[in-house]
Amino acid sequence: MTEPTNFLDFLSEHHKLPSFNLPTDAVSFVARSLTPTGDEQIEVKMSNGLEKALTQYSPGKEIIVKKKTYMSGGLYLDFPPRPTMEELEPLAIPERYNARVNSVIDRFSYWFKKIEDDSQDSTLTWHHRCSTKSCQHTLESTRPKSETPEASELCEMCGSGVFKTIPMLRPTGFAPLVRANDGSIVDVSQRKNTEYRITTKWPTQIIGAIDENEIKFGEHLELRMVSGKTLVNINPGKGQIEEEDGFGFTFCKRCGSLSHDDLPSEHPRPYAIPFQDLNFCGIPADTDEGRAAIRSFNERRIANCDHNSDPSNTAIADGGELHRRLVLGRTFVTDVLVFRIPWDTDDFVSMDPAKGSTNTSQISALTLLRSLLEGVTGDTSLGLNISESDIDGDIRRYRHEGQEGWELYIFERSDGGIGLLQALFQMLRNRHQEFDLDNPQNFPVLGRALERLSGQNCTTQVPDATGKYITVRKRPCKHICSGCLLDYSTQYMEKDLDRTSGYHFLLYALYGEDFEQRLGTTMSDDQKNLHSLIQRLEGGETAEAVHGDGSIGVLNDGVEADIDLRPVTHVELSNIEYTVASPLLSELPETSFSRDVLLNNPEQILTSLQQSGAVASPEDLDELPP
Amino acid sequence: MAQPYGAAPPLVSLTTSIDSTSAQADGNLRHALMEFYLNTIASEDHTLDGKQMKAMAKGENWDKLYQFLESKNGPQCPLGNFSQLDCRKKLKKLRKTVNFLSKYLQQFGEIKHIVAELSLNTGSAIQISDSVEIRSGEVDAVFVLENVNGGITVVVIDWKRSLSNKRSLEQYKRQCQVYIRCIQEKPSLVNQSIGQMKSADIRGCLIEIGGDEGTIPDLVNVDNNPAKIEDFLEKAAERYESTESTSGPHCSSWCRWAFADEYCRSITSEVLPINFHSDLFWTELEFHSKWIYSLTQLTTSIDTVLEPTGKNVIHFNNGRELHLKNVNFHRAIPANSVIRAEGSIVRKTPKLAHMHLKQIKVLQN
Repeated sequence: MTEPTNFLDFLSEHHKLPSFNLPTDAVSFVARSLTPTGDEQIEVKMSNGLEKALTQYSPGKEIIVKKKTYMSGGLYLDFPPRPTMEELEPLAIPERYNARVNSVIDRFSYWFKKIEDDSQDSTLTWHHRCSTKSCQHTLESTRPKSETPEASELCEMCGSGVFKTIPMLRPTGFAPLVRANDGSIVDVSQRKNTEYRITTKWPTQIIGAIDENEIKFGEHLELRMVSGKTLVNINPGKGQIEEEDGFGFTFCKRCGSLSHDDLPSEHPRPYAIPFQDLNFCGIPADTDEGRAAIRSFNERRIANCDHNSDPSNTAIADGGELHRRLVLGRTFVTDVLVFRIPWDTDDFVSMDPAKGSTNTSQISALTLLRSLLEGVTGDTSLGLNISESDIDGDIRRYRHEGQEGWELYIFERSDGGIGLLQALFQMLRNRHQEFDLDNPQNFPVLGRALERLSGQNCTTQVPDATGKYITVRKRPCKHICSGCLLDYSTQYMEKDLDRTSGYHFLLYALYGEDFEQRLGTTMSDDQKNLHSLIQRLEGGETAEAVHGDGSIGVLNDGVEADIDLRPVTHVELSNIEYTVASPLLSELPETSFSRDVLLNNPEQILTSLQQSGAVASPEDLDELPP
Repeated sequence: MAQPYGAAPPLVSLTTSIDSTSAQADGNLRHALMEFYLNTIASEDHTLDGKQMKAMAKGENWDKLYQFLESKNGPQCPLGNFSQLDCRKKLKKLRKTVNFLSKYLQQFGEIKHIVAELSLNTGSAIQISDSVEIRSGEVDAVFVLENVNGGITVVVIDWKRSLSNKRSLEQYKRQCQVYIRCIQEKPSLVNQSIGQMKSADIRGCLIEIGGDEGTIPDLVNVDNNPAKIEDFLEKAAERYESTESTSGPHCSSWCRWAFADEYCRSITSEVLPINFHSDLFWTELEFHSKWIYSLTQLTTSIDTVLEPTGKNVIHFNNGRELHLKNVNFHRAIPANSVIRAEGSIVRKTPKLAHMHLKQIKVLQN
């Protein structure tokens, strides 16, 4: 190190400080406005750990303090850097005064210059992510594209994606926008763009490869523990990775304003500029040059910031390329527990579905991850007392020796980790011999996830003979429900979860290609829906729902209702068996239909049945008497 | 078809670093995998079965397939990345086509002969009309089938990665017609006698080998009317000698003259499947929200700056805008410049379209 650095900052930046219940990377939200007399007024000053601040204070987010609503609109610096004596000395007096005025009007101009010039500064790093929505493989390098040759190549994970390189800024603080003319906070009700990303969880990626010290469960499920892994959290704004011009925030390097959309040339700053800011600038009021500088300061402080669409104010340059958007983010080091499960490339639906198609592969992996997270935090018998605030998780794709699949990873949220996952891994390793494929329900974490995903905890409303809805327990729900996976931590990702897909993926992980034989009657309601569909078709009226043994679901104690709780195994029409298949399977025989098609595009089933002659074709229908 | 023209070089030449090689390699690999399956597996028992194809890239079979692909791979025919996993992914798509084709061919009887990548280089030219002779070329696949009455059907197939843009298929249909003529003139290519071929029903079709999952592969029949083929061959011979811009099919980056220094002069905006200057592109539903890969040519109406991370907007009349993506160079292009560009195009609204550039060249400014 050549530059003197604050020792505590050094320890914090290198993840050497214990952060359990002690945020070492506090980020503030400061509402700096003016009093009617033009003096500085700090309306709000509060802080949070960087992980939470990335979502709770980021642009577009509404923050309510003492019944007043503020909306974050940009970055904030308590003490903006000012020009050094070395920089000022060569300048003539008017330019010197001008530089000083600039530093208090454009509080971020010197700050951006400093972090761009210092290649070792960890405030500004780079993020390289595959722009294919279904892939989003992230490169380990945090260096710019000009120093990351692999960022210019096709993504090796999906084989077709192009990397998107974007500057990643570790924010120093956040602030609401302020009206320049009177120094008041911009009224939230006048802001049009109130969209914001409420979580940073989705883009989290493990950076780099992991070691081979796995323990194996069943046919395909491998569990690994990795310590000291670097993860990254980013807030990319409201845009999606595949959007050309939407991923990240546009920014003004003069005032630190951030915007999800294109930031207008003239815009309010995220801070007010009181008269006092000129103090300590060393500008005398008794010289012509001094008076001119003060006049300039007074004019500019009540005018909006204007970046003039000049790339030097609105872009970060690298190797001749200009980057007009950035993401807010942080890297942190922690312990990670990784569940690796291969995806059957030959027989399962593609991991890179066509645009607009359901990404069943990703949904099943994410669903399984959420159930494993619940298995860790909800199982008190583990004795580890791991709470939801201690851990989080996400998924990423892997590719290894002719195999591809998913890595479902759970990480400790405390910087560096405090050993919770290490203890859990040790416990699972010690009890590994107890794992019994014929009775996996008894094994910690996995057993609980399996039970939850199988629908044993679901609660479903089923109409009785009179049409009245009756609560049935232990009957697998259609999508996700509060009995299985829906809670406050998953409600924002409800559309990305599907209990059935997750269940089948876990069964595949444990039993391999035989997983279909383990489904039992858990898809009974899907077969029932298929029966209803076929029966409504011309020529399909004689279709029969074939029932299996036992019952699916139970009524609450004391409730009596006329409900058929027999499971349906398949539908029979003209001695041909028709079924709804697992959503994971891609190539289906003519008599089997995808669950996705049944739920979202039943017309395709109609066409297929018509083409095979199982039900009346449109030509036949034309011939029917009116 | 597009042809070379020995005139002055273009004034400005710009090419983005991302060229068409990845798409080309992907197409080559699909063709190679199909060739291996048809020539070494399907031709053994004269059946088409997706399961056999699935086994091609597994276990011991993989070594054989890998060696074949390695022998095919080269500067003339780059296959791109052909790792086992990539091949399995490609084969999954091809299996769908094989199963579809198996059903489609059933109507013509039993398969008697299968050949893929059939070479037309027989040592002597094949005279297919008074003015046209063919000395080289490869037919993607030919199936000879016999029905219960002894009737012979010959099906000539051209594989296509996508058939979504029906307007751009004309040249492929013509190509297929030429293949049909070659086989008719030289039946020994498909183990048939002249007599057998005379009585045979010969058909041509373009078949998709890469559609989306869960969809049925697209098939486009090729017109086999002898009079029409004759007419086309006559016109093609005339056009080959011409330097005037002409209507009819034009190539894309696959044609080495489209972006060459001495570029093809017979291409104009009007003759290409997508014409940004016409109302058709901005109003027809078929262009809306669907990615279409195409060669285009346009004239700028105002001064335009193309730069990385810039907006890169080309303006047309009625407030219509084309946003160019993947621009990795800086260039100021004056008004009234003629630009030839190729890439994936999508019309987002009646006033806005995006184009992901693969190649671009300023022809004239």
